[in-house]
Amino acid sequence: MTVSTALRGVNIEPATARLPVQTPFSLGVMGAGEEFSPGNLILAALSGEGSVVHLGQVTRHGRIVDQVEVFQRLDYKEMGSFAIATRMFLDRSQGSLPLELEILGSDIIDGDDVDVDDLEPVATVFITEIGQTDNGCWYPMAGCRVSVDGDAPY
Amino acid sequence: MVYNLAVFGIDGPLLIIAGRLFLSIGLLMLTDHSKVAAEQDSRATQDRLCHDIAVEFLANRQRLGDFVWEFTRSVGRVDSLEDARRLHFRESYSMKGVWAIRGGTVKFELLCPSEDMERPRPDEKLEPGVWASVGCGSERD
Repeated sequence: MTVSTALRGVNIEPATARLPVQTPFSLGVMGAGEEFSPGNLILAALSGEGSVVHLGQVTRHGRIVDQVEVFQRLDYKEMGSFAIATRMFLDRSQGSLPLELEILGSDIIDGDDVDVDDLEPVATVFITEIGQTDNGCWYPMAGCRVSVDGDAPY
Repeated sequence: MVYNLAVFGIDGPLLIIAGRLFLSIGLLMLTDHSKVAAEQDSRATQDRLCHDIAVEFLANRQRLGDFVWEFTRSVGRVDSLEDARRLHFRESYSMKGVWAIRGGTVKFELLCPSEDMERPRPDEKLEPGVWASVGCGSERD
């Protein structure tokens, strides 16, 4: 059996921030049960819970990947409404894992008009190494999640 | 059936202009219709592509099956996204983590205390061909 040696991860965030649930697969940005994983996000958007657009193939970190963006409006009774855009660069030759996944968000919004360009970066995930299991599955071996800190650039 | 457009006060050059106008409008409508149809086709193609990618992702994720993975996690600060990708920390600390999946459900997650890592795993007996575990390596190259 071939095994990997390590996950080398980095998580940059304010010292006071509450640490989110994480696995090497979700890296803390996919929610409980990976509800907001690329697969679940896209299917939810296609079923009407948001919108999804395929922006073609681009080169990312030396590989050809598919760029997909999902835009959602999240309504919470107590907190109000937020707009979230997830920009994904998915490698279809490796299980459609995201080599890069950027999350953009808004403050509380009023009304329906929200432009993606007005959203601010919240977090970015990089998967820098991908391994393959004996039964042909792809998994993240190394990666980092970068959370935006209000004071520092990253 | 022959219509005598002259009865409506349209004849000669006016008739030609009117004819061209009708033709132009007809062509315009046809073009618009084609455009809408092309956009709908493009939208449908995009949706199919996105759907296929989502299904690929979820299928791969599901097929990972049951396994345990121990690893090192580092937390720190960096100056840029590029530094983050290269793991060039300004300062950092590291900890051990466990990632264990059984039946698609996460059983352990990051930030497990060391005693959790010593416990017997529920996934020790695995189906043949399923990736089982990896060693915990160093945090940095």
